[in-house]
Amino acid sequence: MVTHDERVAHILRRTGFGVRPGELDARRAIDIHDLIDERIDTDGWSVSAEEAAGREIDDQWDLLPKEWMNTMLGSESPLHERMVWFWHDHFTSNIGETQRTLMWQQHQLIRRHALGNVRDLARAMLEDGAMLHFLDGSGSTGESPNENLSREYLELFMLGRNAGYTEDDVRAGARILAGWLVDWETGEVGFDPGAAYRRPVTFLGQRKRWDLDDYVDAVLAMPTCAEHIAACIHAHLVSTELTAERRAQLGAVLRDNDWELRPLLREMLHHDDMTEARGVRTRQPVEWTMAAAMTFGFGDIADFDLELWQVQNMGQAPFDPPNVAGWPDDNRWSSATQVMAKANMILNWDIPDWLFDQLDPSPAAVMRHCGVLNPTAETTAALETAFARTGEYDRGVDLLLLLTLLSPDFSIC
Amino acid sequence: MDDSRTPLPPAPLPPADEVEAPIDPTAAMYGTPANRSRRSFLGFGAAGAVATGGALWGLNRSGVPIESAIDAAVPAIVDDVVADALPEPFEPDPALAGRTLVVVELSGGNDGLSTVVPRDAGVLYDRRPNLHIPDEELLDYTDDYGLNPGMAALVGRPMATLLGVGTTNMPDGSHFEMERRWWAGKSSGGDLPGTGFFGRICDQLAGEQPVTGLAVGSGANPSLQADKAVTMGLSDPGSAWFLSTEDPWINAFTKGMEALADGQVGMPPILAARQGLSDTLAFADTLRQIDTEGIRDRYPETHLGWQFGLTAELIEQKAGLRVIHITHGGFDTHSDQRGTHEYLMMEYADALGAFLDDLSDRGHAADTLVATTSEFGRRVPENRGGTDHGAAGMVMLAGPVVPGIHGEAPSLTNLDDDNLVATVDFEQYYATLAEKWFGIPSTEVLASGANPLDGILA
Repeated sequence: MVTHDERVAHILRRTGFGVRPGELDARRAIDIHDLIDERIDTDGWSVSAEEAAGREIDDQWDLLPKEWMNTMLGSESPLHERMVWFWHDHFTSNIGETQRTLMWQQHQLIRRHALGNVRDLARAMLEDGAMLHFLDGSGSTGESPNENLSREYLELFMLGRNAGYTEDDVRAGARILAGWLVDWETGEVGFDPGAAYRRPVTFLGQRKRWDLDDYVDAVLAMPTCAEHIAACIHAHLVSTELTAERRAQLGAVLRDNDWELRPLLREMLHHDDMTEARGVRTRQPVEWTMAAAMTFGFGDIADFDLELWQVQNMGQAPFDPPNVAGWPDDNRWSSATQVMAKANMILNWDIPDWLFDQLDPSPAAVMRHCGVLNPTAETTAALETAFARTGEYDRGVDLLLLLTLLSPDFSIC
Repeated sequence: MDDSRTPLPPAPLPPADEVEAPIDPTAAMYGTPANRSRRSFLGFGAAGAVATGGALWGLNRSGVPIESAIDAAVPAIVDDVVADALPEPFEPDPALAGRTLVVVELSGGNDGLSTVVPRDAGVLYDRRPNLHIPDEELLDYTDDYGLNPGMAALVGRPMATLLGVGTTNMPDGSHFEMERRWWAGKSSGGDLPGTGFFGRICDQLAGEQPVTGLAVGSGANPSLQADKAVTMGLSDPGSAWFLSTEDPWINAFTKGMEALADGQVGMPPILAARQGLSDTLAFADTLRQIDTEGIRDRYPETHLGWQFGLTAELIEQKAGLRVIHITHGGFDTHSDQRGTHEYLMMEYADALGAFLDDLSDRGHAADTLVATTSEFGRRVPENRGGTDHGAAGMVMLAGPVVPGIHGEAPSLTNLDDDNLVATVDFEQYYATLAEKWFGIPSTEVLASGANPLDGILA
């Protein structure tokens, strides 16, 4: 039997990054479905255009990822923030292959559409400077088209590998997408009709002269498209396990709602599959770091002096995915490298006084504080044994807190 | 905060800011923190990706037909596909089970032409009037090549140099791009596998002991990303301090970690997390045995010296490590190259020389190979006291090798946009390490199944 607290903690973890102090108590009486709707019906958060433009983002090499992590931590729109993280992992680009200003512009683009409309986002990505740099769309010409963007757009972003398209479609798509150039100095994205491919092209079964709107519409019209995108979101927010029937259902919800995301998220998050999918996903390093910082009550990365290299030492950094497929979603994120880096980081954090005052010095209370409500017997026993060795009030609480964060139970969500 | 955690134990490494080193001109990039300040006991921050500038990026790519014949013939590779395609590990030759590979990554793009320098190369005097090292300053190596004056500690050592190593498949001027190709072990770039080349080597070699591959001094290194084997990155050896302190609170903490690692049943993610904890603790036993005083005595007090010293200690302990990765940064010498590069090579030679002596003393010289690489070389003409990002570079191998020059020297006059043209693809060099050092068929670890080179390893 799943308790109310467990369901609440699960929703908070999956539609955000973790459980903040006092959040479980504050949600004691809420209907779980009201909580889910509250998470979905958020306006989102974005940096204003002026603010973004005014930033001296080229001065500091680590400013952008830190700025983003700070937003993740303090956001009042956790699901929006979670979806920004998802889309970065989906429409990947890498800061090392573009300008920082362009990477930041792409980030703002994702922020604008993170809970909005898939078609708008997918269309905008084709003219995004960082994307055009990353997947070689910039400089691709009709005479000598580069297939990278065309291939990954179909294979990873929109349809899934070999899902209804052919190698000929990849080549044809490259012609349709040719003609764009991102000016390295100014970051300006331009289209040169002279460099484009102007003759008719056969793409996904239609022969005609194409523009980007036609191209996106043809891809979206593929029967595999909505299912693929819905399944990717489901894998991130709910579970990688998805029956063919449910997959088709979710795809239909996305398509029937004109590619709006909120109806799809409502369908996913209110479903029993969501309740069932507790503890099946290993937190990635950035996710883990945010969740851990929340248990200390930190609302700003300056509260614990987070540096980018601390998450890099765990093998992950925002804006630096390992390849176009993004970060692998598996259990590698709780291996020895991560354990060492995590322990080093949290041993350096100061526990605020109020937390000592507020928290009962018991394994169950500390684990609950961290959102671990149904711990394994082994973890409970380990914490009880460790706690019995100390006895002093405050020493006990910080020992329990740090051990909970390193426990297998906190490494998953 | 609890007082018992405040007096942190001294880390066994000298703080980065006390190690004299030239200013890293690549520091402005993402991935190599400009401020390597050593916050409390935590280590050198440079982890993982080192990506630079990329000023060339976007300009030098226009109009290039990217989809090569290889890419067209081989289905695009994404990580899960590679994982599926990997065959079961073959049976490694037990006679080779004692062998260790030490990879030294010279980060930033090392100028091969100033490292192992051709003698009587008139064209270099012309194209590098302020930069070329005159023949009379070169240190003894072979009849046709001399060593950088900073490399005195390596004169007379068993060293093989493979010239003209790079990608024969569309070189790229971006540190980021070329590092990723080297790390992933795919010289043509494009869709890269999710594992690193040395990680795949470790997948083939993983045995009973907890950790098979280790990056010392740079945190998690993408080249060691494995599919099944445990590979680890230490931000520095001191990052295990909490596993070997007398402090009672910390002891309670580490005892608690041990208890958390316990347990046989559970969902796969829980079991994986317990495994991560127990691997950490098991490896900590190894780290606890490190003789830091001995390292201090035998090695130069540089970051590189400490990495080599730690490596020797780990080899001595037979801890099951087969690949150890070391990083030496600062090679992006766009300006002031002559002095900076010589200093870096001196640090390199002094630390490597001490390591080779140490290995001989301990009886591990015959089963340890040191392979030194860089993401690319530098251009032939000098540019304002330095050189720009180039293409073909070189590989230096120390240990049981056939000493001297190997491979075909790239032409100094027949250049590609001022770049040396690679005569050996780095996948062939990787195939040589796999087959000739570890006895692993190249097809097990390289999608291309590149052919190894003969006559380099003894």
